[in-house]
Amino acid sequence: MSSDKQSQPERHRDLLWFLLIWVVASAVLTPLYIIFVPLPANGNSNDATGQHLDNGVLDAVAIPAVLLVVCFLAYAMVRFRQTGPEIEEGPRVYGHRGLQNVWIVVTSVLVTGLFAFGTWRILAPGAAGSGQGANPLSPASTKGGVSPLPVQVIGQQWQFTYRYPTYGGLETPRLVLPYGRVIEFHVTSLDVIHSFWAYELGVKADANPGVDNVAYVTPTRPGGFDVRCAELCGIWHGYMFARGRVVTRPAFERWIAQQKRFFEPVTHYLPPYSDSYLPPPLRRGG
Amino acid sequence: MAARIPEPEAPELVARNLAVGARLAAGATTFAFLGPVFAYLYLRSLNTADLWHPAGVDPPLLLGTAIVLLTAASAVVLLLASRRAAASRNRLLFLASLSFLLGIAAVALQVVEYFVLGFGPTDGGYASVFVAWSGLTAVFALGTMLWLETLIAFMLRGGERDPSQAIGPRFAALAFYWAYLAGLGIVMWVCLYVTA
Amino acid sequence: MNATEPSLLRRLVGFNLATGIVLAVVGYILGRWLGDQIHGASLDYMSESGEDDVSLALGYFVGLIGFLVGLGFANYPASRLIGRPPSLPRPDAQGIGRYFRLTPDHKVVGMQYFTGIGVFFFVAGLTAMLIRTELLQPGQNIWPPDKYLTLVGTHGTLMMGMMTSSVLGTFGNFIAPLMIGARRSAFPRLESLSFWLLMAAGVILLTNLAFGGFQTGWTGYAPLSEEGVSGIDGYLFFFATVGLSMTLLGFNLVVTIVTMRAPELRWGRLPIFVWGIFTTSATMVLAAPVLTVAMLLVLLDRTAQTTFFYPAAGGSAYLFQNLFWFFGHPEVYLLMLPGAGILLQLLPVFSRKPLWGYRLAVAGMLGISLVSFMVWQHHLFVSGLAADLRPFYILSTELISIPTGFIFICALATIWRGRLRLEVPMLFCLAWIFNFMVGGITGIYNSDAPSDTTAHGSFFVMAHFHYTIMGGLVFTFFAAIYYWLPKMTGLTLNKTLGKVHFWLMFIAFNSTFFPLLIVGFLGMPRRIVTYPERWEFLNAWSSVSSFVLGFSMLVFLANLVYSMFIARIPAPANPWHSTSAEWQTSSPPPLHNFDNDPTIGDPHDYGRAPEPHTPGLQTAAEGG
Repeated sequence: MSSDKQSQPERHRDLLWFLLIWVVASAVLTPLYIIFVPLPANGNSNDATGQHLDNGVLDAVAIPAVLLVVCFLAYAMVRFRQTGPEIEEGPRVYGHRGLQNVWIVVTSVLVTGLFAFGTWRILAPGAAGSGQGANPLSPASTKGGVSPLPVQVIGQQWQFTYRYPTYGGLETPRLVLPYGRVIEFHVTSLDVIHSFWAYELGVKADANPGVDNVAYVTPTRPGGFDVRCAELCGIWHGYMFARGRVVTRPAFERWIAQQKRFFEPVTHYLPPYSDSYLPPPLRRGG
Repeated sequence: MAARIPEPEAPELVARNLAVGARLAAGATTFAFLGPVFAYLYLRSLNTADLWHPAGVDPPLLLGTAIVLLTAASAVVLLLASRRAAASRNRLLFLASLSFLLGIAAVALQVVEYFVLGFGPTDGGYASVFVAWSGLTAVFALGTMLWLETLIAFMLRGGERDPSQAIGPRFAALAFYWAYLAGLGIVMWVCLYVTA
Repeated sequence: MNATEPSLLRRLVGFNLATGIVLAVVGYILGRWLGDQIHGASLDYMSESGEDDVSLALGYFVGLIGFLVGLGFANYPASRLIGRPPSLPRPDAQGIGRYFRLTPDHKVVGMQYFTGIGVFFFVAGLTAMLIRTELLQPGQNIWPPDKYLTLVGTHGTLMMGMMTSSVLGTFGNFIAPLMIGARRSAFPRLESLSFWLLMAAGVILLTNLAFGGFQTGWTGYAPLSEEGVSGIDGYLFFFATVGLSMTLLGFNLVVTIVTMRAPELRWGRLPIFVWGIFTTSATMVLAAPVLTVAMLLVLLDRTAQTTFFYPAAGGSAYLFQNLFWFFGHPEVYLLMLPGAGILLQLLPVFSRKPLWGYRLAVAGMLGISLVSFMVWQHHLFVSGLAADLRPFYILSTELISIPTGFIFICALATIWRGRLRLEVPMLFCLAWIFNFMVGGITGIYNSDAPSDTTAHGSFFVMAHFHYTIMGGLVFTFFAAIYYWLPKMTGLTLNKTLGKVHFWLMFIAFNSTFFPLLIVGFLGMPRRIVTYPERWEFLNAWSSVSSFVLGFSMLVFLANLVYSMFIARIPAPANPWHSTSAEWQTSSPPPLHNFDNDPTIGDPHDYGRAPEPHTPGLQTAAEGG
């Protein structure tokens, strides 16, 4: 029960107790969370690893912020609660310029810091695995003169297919990638908007009809990954998923050769490789 | 229940409501036109499949210019009328009616234009924007002219002689809105006819 | 009741809801017939398939006109067109009939909004239960995919369209004029029109079920919304009408607050709730017309065969995303700002302290409504559109957390060292602080483009905006109901049931949506009808919690029915010991709001006599 007239030291004691609880809770819980909650997937590609780091940085800001509010509410509800029929009035405090200024400065610094961090990450080569449109601002770096492997992702209701333009424009319903090499996805759609999401690789790029949307990734270890459509595209949207594989380079070459043989009878019927595929222009219907 | 009868409201209240309302309505109208404006700039710069403006899709420049001139003239006449609302009843009535006729003529000409257009809404991005933008303008213009008609009809019945029904602020609010809309019409004319 | 009351039949004749419904049906049939008379090469083909969008759109349009004519909205314009003088409508003193027609009394409109939106809130909540039932287990359980997506879309669309007007329509209309000492609102007919348009829109949306549903979700991205079945016309017409209703609602409230304040009520003394209503309304007047026109453009594509959003004929799919989110992002702040207004209005009452940092709170609200127009492309971070602009949208999106932070510090510092009375409205307000903190912080993950690569389009986003909208808006909406319903009806709501409702709702809400944040980061996209088995536990947990959440709403409904119709305990004159103007009149207020002119003082004047001046502490004059 707080006394009606709190003295100055008593007021400070409330503040100190609350701050102590908050600092201890943050110091304990934040590292625990960052270490033990492995979200999102980590380690399968440069993008996934990068996003894991980004989320860790955001966690380090977010968890103390949430704890601030939680500790504050808990402390206030216990310490300052008033029951009984008598209405007791609180102190008449209209504001505090110092606290106000500190708050504005701290939030502004945090926000600009997060902005700078996010911008730095997105301007880094490869740009965090998200679709960058037809003219990427930050193409992936190609060290050692190895050019990226272009893979076209074609969304249609309700399946993704993949074209490998450097392998004779082969089109296949399966996605297999070599690891250790920069992959340059060109995502487009034939009908409505889809979104190509390779979860474990940390890649997401919308597939728009008539648009070439480029995203980069470098898979860093072999294994399977999920491909899902992440934009509502019609009634079978929920079934638009598949598994992809990351394999070694020789295994990839073997797989490509096998696919080329398998699809040879149909590949030459496909339209020539293009950034996007639209139906021929409509005639003016008078 | 014996509710106390409130004292009558000050007449300035209606005037202020109309003045604030007309300005707010102008803001809302601007944002309503954002759709076609955005579509114009966007589809024009993208030019998907080279179908922004296929050959043969030409707006009737003469008709379009006539429409925008009629609209602008109507707005100017109404502005003049509202400036001198207190001067003379007959003069106000004449100018307001002139403005009404000019405005209605603009709307009618817009309808005529659709019949002699020579292209349809399916003929590419420009054609779509043309139909939607001019249509939206015509709908707003027609609504504003109906608003003007209510004031003219009110004056014809001699209602404005009632001192509690000041006609001046009503004309002022309407003239502001109509002038604003005519300004948007000029923007449309520049986009759709001049720089098409 | 008394002998002079006319017979039921006599009371049904006239301009009222019954006539409106009859004329709506007549208008619908007339519109469909008119539409069938329109011929064109492609339309003939469509009408043979039974999916004639021209006919359906005209049916909706003429039906809507008929409905409004039947309610009496054409009377005044018609009388003005033939030169009758401008006049204010006379409010009916009493009688149940005034709730079923054009009513110029802002208090009646407030109650109409409360009831009407409440009905649709429960319909939309029911669809949420059905969605969660489908997601109890992986695999297809009770709904085929098209029905499932129709449920998802109906839930999202109804909630977004209706709940945006919930606080503004109910409490903005009812309470805000009382708070500013006004006797009416500025444009009573437009106010009433905004309500009836909203109700008509809700019915139009539900008719989509008769035309194949709509499988586009509430965002209705073109070109998906252009290839779909006729049910989509209902969706488009719903949002176009809602946009119009929102514009009128905001328009009336802005003008009311600007021109009709009591003479001594300067801007610097406006209650913070009125500031919340004002900033929301001003944003709404500008944002909502964009929605209406965007929807009409899609409707033009579907009917007049324009090509705005069809890339193969010169359109662009990005155009719709831009137009939609240019409305859509201000929209989510339209949902948040009234909640902040309620929060900051109520916290001082239940903390018995003045509002801390009044000017900072107002700056926060103004800042949010301004910046909300500059952030929309963060919805398109992975779309490939203008990728070079992403740093700008990261910045603008994260900047908006600064004014949001203003509201937080004002709320927290108001509570600090107060004398907290944990009444039901206060509990809901405190829950806002927690829920919105989670919602706001998860928003940082969406605003940061690298992190958004995973979050975008996943259940994480879905859970995030449920934290902000349900955790933010709906919790404060309930706070306002518990706080102001005694004022609006003169009856007390049961406190025990209220507390049961709160704790059930708070726990079940967090238990429903927290697992969905995780499941999103595990890779589950939104709006999928089935999912891998490894996500079953979290989904089942969320589904079961959502049923409890639904049950908590039934507790509220039981409380409402019990308190309003069975117990009927009269409310004390000022049950919360508030100092603001709305409590200076009787409950419910008389026809002209105040029998005596209210005294307008400091709206957040709580706390014991001023303390001696201490350095650093602001006085009322400089800080308040």
